[in-house]
Amino acid sequence: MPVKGIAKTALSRNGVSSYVLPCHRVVLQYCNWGGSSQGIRDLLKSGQLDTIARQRESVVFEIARRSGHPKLSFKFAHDKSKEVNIANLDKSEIVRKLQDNIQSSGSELFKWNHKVMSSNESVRGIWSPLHVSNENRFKI
Amino acid sequence: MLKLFMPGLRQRKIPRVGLSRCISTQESFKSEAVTKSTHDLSLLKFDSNGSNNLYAIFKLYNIPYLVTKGDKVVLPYKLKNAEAGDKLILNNVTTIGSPNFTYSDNKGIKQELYDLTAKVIEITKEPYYEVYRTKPRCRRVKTFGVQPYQTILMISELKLK
Amino acid sequence: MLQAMKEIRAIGSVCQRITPASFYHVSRPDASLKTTYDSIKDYGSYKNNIFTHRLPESTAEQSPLLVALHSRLSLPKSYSLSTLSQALNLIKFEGLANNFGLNTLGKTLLSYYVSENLLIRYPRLPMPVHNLAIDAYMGVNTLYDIGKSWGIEVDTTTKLEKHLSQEPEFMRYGKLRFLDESAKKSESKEPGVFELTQEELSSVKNDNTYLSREAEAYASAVRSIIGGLYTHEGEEATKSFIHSHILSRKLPLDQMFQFSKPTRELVRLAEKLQFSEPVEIRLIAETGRLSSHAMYVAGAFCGTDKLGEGIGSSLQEAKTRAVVNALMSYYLYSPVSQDGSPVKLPSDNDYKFEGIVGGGDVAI
Repeated sequence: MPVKGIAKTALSRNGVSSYVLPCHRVVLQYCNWGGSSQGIRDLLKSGQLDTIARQRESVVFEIARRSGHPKLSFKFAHDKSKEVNIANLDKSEIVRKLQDNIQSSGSELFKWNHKVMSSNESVRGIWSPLHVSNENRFKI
Repeated sequence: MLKLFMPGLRQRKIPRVGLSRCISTQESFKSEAVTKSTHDLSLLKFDSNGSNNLYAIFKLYNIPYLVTKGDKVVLPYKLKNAEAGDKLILNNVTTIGSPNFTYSDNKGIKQELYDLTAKVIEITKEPYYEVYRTKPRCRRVKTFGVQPYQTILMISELKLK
Repeated sequence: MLQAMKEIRAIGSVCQRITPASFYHVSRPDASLKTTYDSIKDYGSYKNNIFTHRLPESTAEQSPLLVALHSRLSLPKSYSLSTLSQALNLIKFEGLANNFGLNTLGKTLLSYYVSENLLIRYPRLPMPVHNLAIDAYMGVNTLYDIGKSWGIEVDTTTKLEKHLSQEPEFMRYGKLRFLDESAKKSESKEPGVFELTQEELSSVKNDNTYLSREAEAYASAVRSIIGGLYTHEGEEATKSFIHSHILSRKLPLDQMFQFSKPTRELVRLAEKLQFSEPVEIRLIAETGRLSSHAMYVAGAFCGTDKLGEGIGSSLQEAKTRAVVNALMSYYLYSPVSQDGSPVKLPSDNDYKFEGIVGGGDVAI
């Protein structure tokens, strides 16, 4: 056999021609008694959550009543998840937390100190001193 | 007999030799034949092997970004009126280039020549960090927690029309 | 020892007498499907008598998981939720229709569009690499990854657990169902440790690659969703779905080659292509043999044509890189049509054969 192959998997590029929202499930956990759940109780009573859920049909919204501080837990693609504490937050702040986290990919937060992240090879290639024409080379 | 066709050495991590040739729209070229040929990007098309090997420099809030298809652009702010999944048509492109040719126009390349779109794939935040502020002649140090927004775009299409 | 051999022979002869067919490769209908037929050769009369029914659309609509998945994949309205639920069901014996047929359909469509794409875009890809490239696009591991990114959940709780947590019945119709009740119970409690069944152990290959049942199930669900799209929307929609979800991935083809004797292969290739002049490797530039980190640039030439180029820290390395570079630029050639746009695929409208055929592999 002249050439052998090396098995690889094609790299995922979510956003190139198709886009699937990474967040697929949100669990809103609240307590019916505790004062820290006041904000989320207001939110549930106001019916605002229905409009949010209707706008985001691709996400499953689950409401769970459990004792303790309220929290939002998000489930993302590739078994990633995130929990956000919403104790003592008011209605609008909870909505903002919800909208922000639904739009993230669930991967760990990081700072990228460059403008572009690329998995492609450079189109122009890299400059090489060995390819400069003879008369322009650096001479000692 | 098959002709051995080389798709360009760049693909195989080989540095380029010499300067690349430029096609540019300059005011001094007045004859019609020349202006016609400047809008004909077939050289760029063939050299990029059917838009496979193409880069573009677009500007967003006047900041240039050099991208190829499938790149992620990290914007250190929350893009206004954009949500995850939105498609953006980037229409301020100053340069399009292939391994050997460049077409550039500082005023912006005509939109009917290319197709450059991006998708908002993620609106997230940077990791939390603290900023310390001091005032002169005062020993007190104020600490501010910062967690700025980040918008991530994916270049979903880059091709010559 | 001798006696044991005799015994084996005896057992062998018994087997031969009872089931002579077992010594040939014969495909038999799955007994669990209770297939009946008028005559064994009349394939039209084949009928499965196992009782199955499709999930009513009204039940499927109640499952939020199904509605969300439908919307996440932006499937057309005609794609019914009951088909989507069927695509996620791998269990044969629960009375609900399973995804066996949809899976087969999806696999066929996938392999057609993927291989068409590879054959036209990379006509000179050697056979072993071509096969691996197809696997990279639509192998079980890739489809598993796709299934995970689509947010498909697995039904892991037993009936008892569901009853205790008062989970509504229709929730499970939106989940991937491949574990039967006994498998759910035997789930090990230790994280990261899995107990393999006899069936799974047999799937462990010689090269120690092992595909979990979960991966297989995810892959089958992804294929079935594609098959379902074909049944509801037809070929055009399926093609664009495959192009946008599977062929939009980046294939690292340049990392998939492994050459054992590259120089010899290049020489054979040149012979095959009837090059007029012999292939030569020449030194293009160097930093100097006595420099602290010597670098050499070598090129593979045929007469005055440069076929490839490589940089290395020894002459041998530079030479090998140059040769591999030349081979890669030959194998990874991708044609363009006359107007500079990518070539059309056979499944496109007004496709015209543009005369690019790979010359086949070379033997060393």
